[in-house]
Amino acid sequence: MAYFEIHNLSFRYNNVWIFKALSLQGEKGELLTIVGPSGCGKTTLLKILVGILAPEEGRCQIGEDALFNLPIEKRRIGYVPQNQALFPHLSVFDNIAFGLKAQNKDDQEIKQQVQELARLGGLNSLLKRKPHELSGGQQQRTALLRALAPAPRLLLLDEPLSNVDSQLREQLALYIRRLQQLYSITTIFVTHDLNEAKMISDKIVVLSGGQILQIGTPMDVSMNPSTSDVASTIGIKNLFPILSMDKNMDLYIVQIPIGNIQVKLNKNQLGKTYKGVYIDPTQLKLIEMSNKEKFHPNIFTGKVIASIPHPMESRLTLIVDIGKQATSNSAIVDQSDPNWYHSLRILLPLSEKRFKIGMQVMVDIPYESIRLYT
Amino acid sequence: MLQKNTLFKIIYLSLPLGFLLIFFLIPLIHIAFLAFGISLLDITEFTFENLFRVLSHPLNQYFLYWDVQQALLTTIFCVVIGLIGSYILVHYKFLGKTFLRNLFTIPFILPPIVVLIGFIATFGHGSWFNRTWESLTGSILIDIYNTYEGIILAHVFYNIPVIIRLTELGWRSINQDGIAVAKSLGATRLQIFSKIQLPKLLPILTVAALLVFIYAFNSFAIVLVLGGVQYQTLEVRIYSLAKSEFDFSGAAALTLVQVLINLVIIVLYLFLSSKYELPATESAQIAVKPFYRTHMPVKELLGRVLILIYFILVGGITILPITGVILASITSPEGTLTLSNYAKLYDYSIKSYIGLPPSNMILNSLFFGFGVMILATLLALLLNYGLNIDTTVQGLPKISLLKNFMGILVILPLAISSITLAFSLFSLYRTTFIYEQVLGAILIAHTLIAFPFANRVISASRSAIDPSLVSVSQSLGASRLKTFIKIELPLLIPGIIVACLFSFAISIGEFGATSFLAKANFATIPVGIYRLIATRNIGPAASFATILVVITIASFMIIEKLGKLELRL
Repeated sequence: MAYFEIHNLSFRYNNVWIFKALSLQGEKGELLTIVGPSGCGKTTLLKILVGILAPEEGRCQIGEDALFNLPIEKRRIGYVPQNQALFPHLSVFDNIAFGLKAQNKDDQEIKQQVQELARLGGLNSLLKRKPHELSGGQQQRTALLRALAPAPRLLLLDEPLSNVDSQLREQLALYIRRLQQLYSITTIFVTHDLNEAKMISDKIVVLSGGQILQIGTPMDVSMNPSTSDVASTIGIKNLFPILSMDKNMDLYIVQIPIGNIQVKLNKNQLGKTYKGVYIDPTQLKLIEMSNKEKFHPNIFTGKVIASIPHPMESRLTLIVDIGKQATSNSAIVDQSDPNWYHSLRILLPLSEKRFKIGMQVMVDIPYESIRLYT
Repeated sequence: MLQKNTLFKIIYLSLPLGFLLIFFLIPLIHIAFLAFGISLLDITEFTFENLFRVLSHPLNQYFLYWDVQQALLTTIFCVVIGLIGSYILVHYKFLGKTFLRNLFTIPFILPPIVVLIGFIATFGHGSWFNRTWESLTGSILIDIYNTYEGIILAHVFYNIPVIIRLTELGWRSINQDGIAVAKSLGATRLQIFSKIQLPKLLPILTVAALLVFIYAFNSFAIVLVLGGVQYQTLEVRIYSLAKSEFDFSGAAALTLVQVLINLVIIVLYLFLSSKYELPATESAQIAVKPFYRTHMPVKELLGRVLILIYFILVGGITILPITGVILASITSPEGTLTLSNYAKLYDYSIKSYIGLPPSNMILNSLFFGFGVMILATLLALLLNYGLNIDTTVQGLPKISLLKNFMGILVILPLAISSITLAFSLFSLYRTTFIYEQVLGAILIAHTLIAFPFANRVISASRSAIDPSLVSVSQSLGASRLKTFIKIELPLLIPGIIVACLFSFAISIGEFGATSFLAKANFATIPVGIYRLIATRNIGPAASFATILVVITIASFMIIEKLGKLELRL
């Protein structure tokens, strides 16, 4: 049996359904990260679990307890809201000790436990300070330790790193992971930062429009996104919406915003409705304009507008604005509409230095680089 | 779980709700019935005759007409003078600006009775000002007794701060980047004013003007003394009908008219406040111009001279009555400096003029001040805790009837003048111990007047508390009550202090309701001042008033230090 189980959860706010019959479960000691576009209900889900919002239907079981029948103070759920909500009038010590005091533990025990926790957070010398005298990272650690102190059954972290500057984020994310593993505390972590999610999660839950689209390990979800919505939610680039799809002999002509591409489908892929096309940036071929090679139908012309080096991966990302399909004379893309996806990313070895910004190039999209999503 | 919370909610709300129902709403409804001839205390029957009699009385018609007229006139003067003042305060930089700004606020925080004695001391017949003017020109400059201009001058003096303070926020809320962008796009000054500044300024200016209107319309002490028989606001008219002519049903009918007019203004006020997001904090940084610099062009220099004249005139109107009070308190009738006026307050002989020794009045005032401070603040705390006891939000939209009803009930006493409050209490409870024990009746009346202000302060500081503090505290295992005590209460302390001081200052300066409910052998400082004025003991009255000035200004200085003085409802 799962450690916690959310079953058929429904919630609406001002007559708009945020969730309808949402179910989710997690194992003891797992760190689940919920990712999804803003407004998908990530924070709402946490607030329902804490008890700030009351669901219209559904139940959540932790062990023997039906969570929603308990008042907030009896749920034993650690919660770190987005703004941390440190008690501004209390010292770091009193903040961390707050939950222990609420359990009426004796002073000696509280002191010992707070100091032990503070040591883990590197806050030992700061226990007398008020929250406003701390740096962003210190505040974050205080909030985390405060939630951990009373040994909650479930720890809920709502975008805990959103107020921390980017350099510190990774450090703090790993700190959260270490602490979570040390106490083997079941945690639900909400974020919109995919790198964070991939770095620290046991499982990633992709939430969109109040529905769970996919649950899986970071590797699963990144490598095999189940739908184009999942792919776009987890931030996959070179993803294009399909505008139309026609059969032409044994090939399919797929219209996407940059033009028409020819796609080969195997038997398993037939008979489905596809919503998106992913073009693998590592398999694209770049041809200089002077090079008048064969005209394959999936060749497009465009202009290099950015070149981003990734030294750690020895790769280079070129971003090419597609102008027109090489076989056609007119530009397909309406470039005046900023919403059109008309640029293509191409991953090249770092040593590839031929393509300068502003250069006109041709891009060949081979069949094997194309992947269709429902 | 929810049922337990509902039970607690009822318990916590019952006190403030009960207080307002028993001492405010039911007496007010009783007044409305009384206007139609129905009283709980006598055997009566429903009739329109009483209302018709009162409304068709030429004197009542005249006073109603005059009251509206003087309030309008006061508002127009205040808007014109105040708007210029706030513009200058926001846009120019000069030495002593903060001091001047505070000086401009002083009149409003002073109790009306103090303003009144200040006016009499400064512009009265025997005042230094008029005597000097008379020796120069042969006639006095202004006669404040029984004249229209005297009352208007006093009202304008009293209300300019409302316009200045509120429109100052308005000027500051105007986005300076927007003006810079407009200028860069080639907009003229007129276009900038009409398209950018005015739309931002207009809502708060209207709100401020409505407030001034309502304060002037319900003016009591100033008109009671300066107006004589010729000029009376409805407030004064109701007072004299009930207190001197014992025409309770007549007074009730006029009260009904006054309440209706006040309600219209308040509804308008609330409508505007909710429709437009009124600026509450001084957010924008305004590029301030230095008041003086070397090599100024003549046109600019002329502008500065006009500003200077404005400050001398308006500053004069503002400062003179206050210095007038203090000066009169240390001047003998012969014009020499003396402390005898203060000594007279300890002199038992003055009792023959005012019914009881001043030291008793001071004690009474302090009793009410501290009593109201505790009562009003406590009721406001209970109300705010009770209303926010539920921290779990149901997703479904639900019109909280209780919250709406409480909201209206809480703000309503603001729309009701102090004489109406006192009269409605009196009309319902005059045969009960509540009125027999005059201490109780006055304490209740003061609490009713102070409660909306205390509540406003408390609820504003409560809503400034991040709600996630409360939910985090509960998620850590603290009960709702414990969360209130450990988290909310400590964070509310500045608000509580401000609410206490506000309540104290309101009570200690309250004159209308107190004089209505007080009996001959009972008085507070403001009532004592009034009796001293009535018996032409201006010196001792001024020394009494000086004590009030010191207490009030000290209270408001602390309020300003702790937070922000809010002149709005």
